[in-house]
Amino acid sequence: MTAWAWLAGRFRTWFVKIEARFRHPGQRPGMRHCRYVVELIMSYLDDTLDPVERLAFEAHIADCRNCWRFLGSYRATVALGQQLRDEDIPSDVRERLESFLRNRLQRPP
Amino acid sequence: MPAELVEALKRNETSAFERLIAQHGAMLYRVALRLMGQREEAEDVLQEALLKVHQNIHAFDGRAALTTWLYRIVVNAALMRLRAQTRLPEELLDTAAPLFTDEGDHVQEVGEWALPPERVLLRQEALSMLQQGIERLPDLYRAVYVLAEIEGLPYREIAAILDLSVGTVKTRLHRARLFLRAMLAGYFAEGKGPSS
Repeated sequence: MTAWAWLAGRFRTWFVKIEARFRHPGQRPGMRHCRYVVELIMSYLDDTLDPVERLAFEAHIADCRNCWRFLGSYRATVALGQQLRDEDIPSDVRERLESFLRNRLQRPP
Repeated sequence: MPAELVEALKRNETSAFERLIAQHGAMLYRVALRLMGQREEAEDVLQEALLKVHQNIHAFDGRAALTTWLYRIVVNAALMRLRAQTRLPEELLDTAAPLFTDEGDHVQEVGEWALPPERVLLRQEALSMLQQGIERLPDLYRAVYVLAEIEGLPYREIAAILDLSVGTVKTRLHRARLFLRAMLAGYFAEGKGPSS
């Protein structure tokens, strides 16, 4: 992580915490344990956490180096899996399938 | 148009099956390949699946989308074959889950992953390692992972294809990702992988 990214992350943490204190007085952001944060990662990436949970999640992530890294590695795993989407059907496989179907369709029922 | 294609398939027109392969062959091949892991086996699965399409297209009533119906046929054909093979028992997935203290904190320090995008060869290596991990997943976890991550289908459609609840789909996808993440961690983590 570059120094700028780290600094930006720290500013974001402060803003998230301050915003959460004003919006949800009495509730502490960043209260989640790492275990709970790991359970919520998928919902966080799917953007299905409610606003309070999202703030708490982000506050924890910004404060916890392990969870910050865990989120990064989880995201990388997802991104790597999505790279397998590029596979196309090879032309020889396509030709064999077409030939297979032609033979089957020409057979009497 | 899917409806027009379905009608032509019902009339057993050879050109309709060629259109089917042209329009949906890539997605069916991807699913078969990622579920089976081997090109030859994927091709066998596709042949079986197309035969099923040929035999059952008359029963297709259009309540589900054609693509959902096709996915279901190819996934079922693959799962039938996979049942004969030995895979990782489901409970072993938990051994790859991160460990926490009683207070709920990480037991070990989590390593930072690093892989510069320009290192294409290393990315290929990582993809190959990922494929090996996918092949170790229990069948239904693998099916969920392939349909969600590789095909990018919504949870609701995956649930319909696999006859599962949306909650089960999400849980299985998350556990599959945690397992694959753990498999890749040794490769990417600082000081261990070839990128360091």
